[in-house]
Amino acid sequence: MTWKNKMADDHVIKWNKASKGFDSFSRGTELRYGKYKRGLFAKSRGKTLLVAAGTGNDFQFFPPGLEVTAIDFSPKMLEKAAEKTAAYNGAIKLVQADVTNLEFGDKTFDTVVTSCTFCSVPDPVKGLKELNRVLKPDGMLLMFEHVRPTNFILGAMMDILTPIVNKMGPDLNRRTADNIRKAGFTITREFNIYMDMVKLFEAYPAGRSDMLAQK
Amino acid sequence: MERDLTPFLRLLDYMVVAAAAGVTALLTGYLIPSGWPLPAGMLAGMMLGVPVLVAAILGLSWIANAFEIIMPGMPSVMIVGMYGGMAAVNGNSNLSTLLIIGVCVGLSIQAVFHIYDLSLHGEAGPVRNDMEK
Repeated sequence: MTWKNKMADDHVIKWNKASKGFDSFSRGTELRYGKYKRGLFAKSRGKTLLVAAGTGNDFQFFPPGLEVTAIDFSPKMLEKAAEKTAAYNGAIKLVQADVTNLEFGDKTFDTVVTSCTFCSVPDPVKGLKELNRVLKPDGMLLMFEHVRPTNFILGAMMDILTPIVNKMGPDLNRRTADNIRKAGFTITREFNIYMDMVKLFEAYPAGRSDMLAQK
Repeated sequence: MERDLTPFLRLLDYMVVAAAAGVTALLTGYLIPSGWPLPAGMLAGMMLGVPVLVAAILGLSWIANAFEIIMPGMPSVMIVGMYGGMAAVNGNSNLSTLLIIGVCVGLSIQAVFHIYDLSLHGEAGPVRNDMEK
């Protein structure tokens, strides 16, 4: 593993602690949203980067035969994820990394996949810009995320809950669509799973004229 | 092929929110004494609902998802807690009545969220560029 000295980072500490009960807490989510993740992840191709691998619960949703690099900044999460790599019918390489400071070269990956990631990244636009950098020009960004609802009352409710919840978990009020665009991506698809709060995004690096021509 | 658990999970959503609201209503009847100032009773009732909801989310995370509980659950327990607190301080804390009202409010609010969810579910196109607003 190649990791710079960021172990004192509060976010790493938080997610190291969360790794203990993560599988149990996530099971309800996987039951409910697994089919949507499977449909999204099925669009992965070639060299694939999975951001925020967590304890590896998402490995099961990838189609077989991919070459997946799965990153997370929590070493405790990756310890648990290592137990699940063998069950995948393909190659999964675990790397301890910070999405806001990736050590991969430009235009490395064909696909980047995120799953409830950018609710937790401290600087989401910086992280998404890094993904834009490591994604090939004809690559795809596939995201399963929860975001701030657009409804005024529900959005305000998430704004109030976020300072409490993010002490032990994610932010609930991220404006992820805006962040994706600020990072230079063009969103080609948004799919609402639960209200407009749990969503799928598909995006390409901005300026892909061939993709626009197909649309 | 994954088995579609959606109908079962939807039913679970209704049951959990109804139960959380019902338990909140019962707690207000048990714990809030009559004679308190009305605002204090309302606030205490609302606050009683929060740990109930948190317990539901944490206890059922192995089968239910947090969002489907917290989104309808929070207004449910707040409204039921507020009503229960008001009733309790006025000496009208019949537990059966409070329980029925709590469950009915929880089911109704979950239904509202269910309908709202159905209205939004699916493709969210055309894709807008919010930066152009």
